[in-house]
Amino acid sequence: MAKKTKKPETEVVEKDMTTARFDKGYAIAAVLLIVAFLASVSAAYFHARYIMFYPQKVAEQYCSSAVVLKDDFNSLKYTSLIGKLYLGDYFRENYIRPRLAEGESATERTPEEQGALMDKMDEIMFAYYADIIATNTDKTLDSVLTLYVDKYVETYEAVFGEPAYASVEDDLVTCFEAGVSAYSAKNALDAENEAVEIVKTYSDEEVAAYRAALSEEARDEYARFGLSPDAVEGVCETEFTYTVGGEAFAYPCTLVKIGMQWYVDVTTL
Amino acid sequence: MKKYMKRSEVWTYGIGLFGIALLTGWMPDYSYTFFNDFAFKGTDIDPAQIMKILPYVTLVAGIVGAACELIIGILVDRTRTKWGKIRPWVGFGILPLAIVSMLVFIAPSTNNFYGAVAWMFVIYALYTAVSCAVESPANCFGACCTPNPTERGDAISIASIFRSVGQSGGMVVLPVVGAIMKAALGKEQFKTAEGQGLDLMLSTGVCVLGLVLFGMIFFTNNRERVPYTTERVSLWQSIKFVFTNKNLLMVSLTKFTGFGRGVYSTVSLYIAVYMLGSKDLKLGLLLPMGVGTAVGMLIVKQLLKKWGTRKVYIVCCLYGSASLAVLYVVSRVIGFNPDVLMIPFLIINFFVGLQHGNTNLTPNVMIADVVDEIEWKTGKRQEGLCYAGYGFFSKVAAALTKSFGPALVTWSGYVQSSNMNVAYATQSGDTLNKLLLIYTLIPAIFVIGQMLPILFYDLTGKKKERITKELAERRAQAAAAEEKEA
Repeated sequence: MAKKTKKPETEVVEKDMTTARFDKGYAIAAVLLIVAFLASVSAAYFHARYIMFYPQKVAEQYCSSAVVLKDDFNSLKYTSLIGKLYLGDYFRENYIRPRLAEGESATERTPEEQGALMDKMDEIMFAYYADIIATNTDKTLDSVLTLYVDKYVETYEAVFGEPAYASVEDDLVTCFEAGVSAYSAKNALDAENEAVEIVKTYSDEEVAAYRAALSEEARDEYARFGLSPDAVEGVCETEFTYTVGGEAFAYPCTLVKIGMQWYVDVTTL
Repeated sequence: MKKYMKRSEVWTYGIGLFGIALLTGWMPDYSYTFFNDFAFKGTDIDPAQIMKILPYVTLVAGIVGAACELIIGILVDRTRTKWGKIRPWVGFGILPLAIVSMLVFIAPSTNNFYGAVAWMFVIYALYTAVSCAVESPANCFGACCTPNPTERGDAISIASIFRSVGQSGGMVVLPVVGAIMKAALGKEQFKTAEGQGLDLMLSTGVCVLGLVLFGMIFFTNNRERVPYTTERVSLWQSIKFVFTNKNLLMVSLTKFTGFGRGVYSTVSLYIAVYMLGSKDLKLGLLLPMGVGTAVGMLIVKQLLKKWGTRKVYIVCCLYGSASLAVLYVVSRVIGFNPDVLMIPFLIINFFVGLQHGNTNLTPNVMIADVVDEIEWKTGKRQEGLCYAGYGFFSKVAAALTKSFGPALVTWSGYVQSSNMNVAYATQSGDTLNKLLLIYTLIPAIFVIGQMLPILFYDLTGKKKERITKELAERRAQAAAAEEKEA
């Protein structure tokens, strides 16, 4: 076996270390200083900007979306429903995916042909969404989403001449969101003087009483969205006021605190 | 020839450049997004007005940046401290850079449009100036880390690879920060925070921390080892110097004559959509290109030891141009059918990416050699100014590329979709061919263009050896004279 030849040692010129002690001290101080700066600035800015830390701001966003803009679906993003859930995933997993067919479309279409058919879908589904909101008296999230997806699948088969396969999922969500936006744009109130006032902040005893007083139905709803009533650490009552054409309106809104964040209590809606 | 650097110093130089590139690579794109989409969200300020102002903000910052390149270069060459001439700029400049970068993402709460505009102009120009004061000196550190050209080439090669990786580091930081925020706040709540640009602010914090941490590792472990001269050079002499030194001018001119080689990125999305079949494959285009760049740098590092800078640069440019031409020809022969074209396109695209190893590395080694040549000729060592001259041309070229790309897309006859349900409209065969030209042959022409000035670069072979030898002798004589005096 051939012997490994040792690499000739190179002569390394030593560094001039006159500033070494200062450099190390300075480096440590600089890192500590920046860590402290980043921590304080980020925390302060985040706290000031992130609305979920403030019941008033959450109520304002919710009411502005649900009451003024008539956007029932997106306003849910400020409710306790999303404490543990992602609204989009919840919609896809529970309502969309179970209704779509397995397999994939074999039909080839140009982008323009595909676009024309989707325009037709939009036209029908936008009108249907408005219809659900206008006529469905039991306007729960469950009933709205079930009706909508059933209609979409049925319409898709009629318009495209083939089943709505799993690949249609994103198109369905896009169509639904566009329909919600279109409805909102058409029906939003021309509201002025929007304001939110905190009417009451519950004491610890009152929070405990609030939890204890939750109905069976409300508890079931909490469980359905992966929440426990025990997670409620604070309760706050607010009032959203606004005027339309000079006439004043008020909308009460109850919020719960889960962890560090505030949500509109979905069971009170 | 004896070695001057400890092995750890070669790596910590790379780590330092990685930290700086992590932040400076992150800032331009994400600060633009922050200003445009989040900074004044929820205020009375009209977002459309902000969008109109932003090109002027970047233009002013670009002018400030180009001017600062030269000014900082001159100041670096006038710096005389016990830390050296370059290290103090990096070590002591990092703190202001960290603070200013963070402040870019802390928008004031104002409803005043003019106040908002003034803030954007001031904070971004300030960031550009301060980043220039750290980045430019850090880039030229390679020229004075050792008097041994081979050792210097190795250090610059490794550091360039680290810098290149660092520039894309932000793309990793953002999803990681997003994942942590989702876990801490909840997925839907994260979207609310994301809607306020808070993920961008926290990601900037991570990049800033990386800058300080890695920058300080460099500052404490690395030393300058090439003695600097003490003559002061006037501003006029300095500017004249950048434009009249032949070899420096030739290296800098490569940026100018090759400015159009970067236009491929303008159409990479369209290439993904129309040639490969999905816009998601844009990552499939950029990733092999990025990996190719890293692999290319390792290859170029080895080639530099055998061939020398001029030959490597010319060969790599010819290779780059040829590989782009091959990509064009293969695509035309196969036809614009994504099912058939995708695999060969991505494979050739990887080989196209190898050329970027050369353009990211070789000019830095050349400039280090130019610094030696100037010291040999004039007795003055001007690392700051040499790299500043190159940086100045780079910034001008980047501005040209930014406007050239969209102009070429217009020339291609690209048709936008007017249907809400069609993201990308069908394009004519002529337009697809022109898009492919913008991705391949037009950059290929500019790759040849960037090679041309190097044909006149003569700092190679025996001349370079002679300079190195004579400089070593002069420095030894100077050191002996100093010892005698002492």
